[in-house]
Amino acid sequence: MKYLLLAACSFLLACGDSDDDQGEVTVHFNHTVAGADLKHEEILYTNAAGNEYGVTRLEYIVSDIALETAGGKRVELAEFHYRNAFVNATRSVSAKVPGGEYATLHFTFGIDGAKNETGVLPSVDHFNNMAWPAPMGGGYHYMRMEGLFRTDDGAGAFLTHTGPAGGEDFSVDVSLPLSLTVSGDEWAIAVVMDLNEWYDAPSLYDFSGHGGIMGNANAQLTLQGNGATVFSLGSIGHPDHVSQGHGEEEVEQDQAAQDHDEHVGG
Amino acid sequence: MKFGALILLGLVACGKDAVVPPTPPPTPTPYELVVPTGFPAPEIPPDNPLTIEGIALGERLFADPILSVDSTTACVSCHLPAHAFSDPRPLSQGVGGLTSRNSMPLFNLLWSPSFFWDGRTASLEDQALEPVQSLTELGENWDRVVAKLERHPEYPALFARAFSDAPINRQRVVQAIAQFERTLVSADSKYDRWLAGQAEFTPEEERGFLLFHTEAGDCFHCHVAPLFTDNEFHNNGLDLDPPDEGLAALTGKRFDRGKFKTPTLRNIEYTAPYMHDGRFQTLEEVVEHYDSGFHRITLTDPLLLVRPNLDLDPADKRALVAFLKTLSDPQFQAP
Repeated sequence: MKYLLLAACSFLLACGDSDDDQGEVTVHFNHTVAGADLKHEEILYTNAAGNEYGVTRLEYIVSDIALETAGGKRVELAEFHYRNAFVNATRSVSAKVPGGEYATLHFTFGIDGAKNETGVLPSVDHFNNMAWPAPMGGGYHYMRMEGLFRTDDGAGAFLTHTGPAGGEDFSVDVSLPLSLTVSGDEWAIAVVMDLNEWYDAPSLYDFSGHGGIMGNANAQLTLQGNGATVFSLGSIGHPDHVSQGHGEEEVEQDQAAQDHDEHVGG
Repeated sequence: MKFGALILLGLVACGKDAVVPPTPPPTPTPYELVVPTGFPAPEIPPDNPLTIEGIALGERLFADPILSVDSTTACVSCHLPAHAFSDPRPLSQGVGGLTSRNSMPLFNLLWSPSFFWDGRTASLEDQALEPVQSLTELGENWDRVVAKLERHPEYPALFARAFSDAPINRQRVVQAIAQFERTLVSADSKYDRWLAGQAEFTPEEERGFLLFHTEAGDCFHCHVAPLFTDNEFHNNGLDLDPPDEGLAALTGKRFDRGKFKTPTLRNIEYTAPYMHDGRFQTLEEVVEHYDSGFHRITLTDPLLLVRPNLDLDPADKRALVAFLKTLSDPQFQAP
């Protein structure tokens, strides 16, 4: 009887230990251009092709966000995540993960072709606004990056809209090696997208030669190839020490609307 | 017998001292909202659930000039049911003159996160507070509205039924109007029936659908199905120097000058004239604007600026208009 009790006790303790090891991991998605925090609207940046540009919109979907141990065990953090670079509420995904040593962060930039179909995402504005219309192949944009660039005769515009052109898969598999030991507690990982990397190597991408590219498989292929170096890891560790990209200016139209009481007829 | 007398005594005591339980306030009847297939889940404020009595009261208030200072003008005066609750005049006539913008149509508001052309209120309740006290529109003040409703022969009972005996106040008035507005759902157009496999497009409508939903016409980025709006704000190149600041009046940001909320294209056939100032009378004029008529300034949305003129041929333009008319919901127009 005594042994039975001891065995039961140690079993309970062991379970308790396992729960204690579980930690909460948050992944932040931050944005830089040539290392500087992204700012909204102003023409401040120059890409490899020499286009001087500013960003009016940057929103994208990442999917199948997962941590993997050195031994190959995967833990999914989120299936789909919508990020608007100028809306702070979309910055991060968080999930409870078992304690252990993790060696890689994986995600798909965009949505894997096997599941990128119209209707796979919930019908909410931010996902609906990323729709890739059925006549163009269906599914969802991976990214809508939009802005202005200087041209000889004034302002030009660019729309870097990536997605499943013609029903093909141009998503980017991202694997970032890291060293994270989760042992209870909260942990944060900063992922950084550097915008200039989309336009640099291996293929130079000039805004002047590209208007609407949703039906342009060559442009999609170029951006998919360049996408290999777009993402890197920032800091990793306790949440207080991990950058949340505070340099970004947030656009809060709804809040601005709520705060405003000036009356205009109509 | 002695015990019987005791019981009687007890009853008498009860009758004398106990308060007669009051009649419980009438409980409003919940309204079952039908969400159209594919539409987002609606968000209804927890403190203003839809009820049969609340909606009926809101509909009556919406049509009652009692809300105006001189009893001449109601919400419905500028939001006409025959025009999908918009106004066929470019600007609307209120008690104090003309409004500064075109009256927006009222339907599918359950799925709108902001109201007015510049999105300055975040709830239908807050929206409804404004026109009553706008000197241009209804020109009344809320205390007087509440006093008029309190001494009305019918409204006190209607409010009591809708809000379980709560007093009449401005919050109840706008809550009732908002309830009514939330029931204005339109999702039975030819396009919807086509989507459900219950209708066929003509070849011209089909051509328009394809132009709309590809980069050839590129309407879909802002007019996103199923609502046919992205619920966002854009400058669509109407003016070289926007005379109406639009969103910038709220945010103070120069990049927001001349940005207005994307209107839905559902029932667009019924809601002429078009744009925030009602400058275009016909859908053909609107298509011309996006084809080659917009101004190329740094405020113009990149979605328009990115390409040279669309240069659609006349048949393409007719096809686009034909597709737009498949978004009409005749049932919604029926009285």
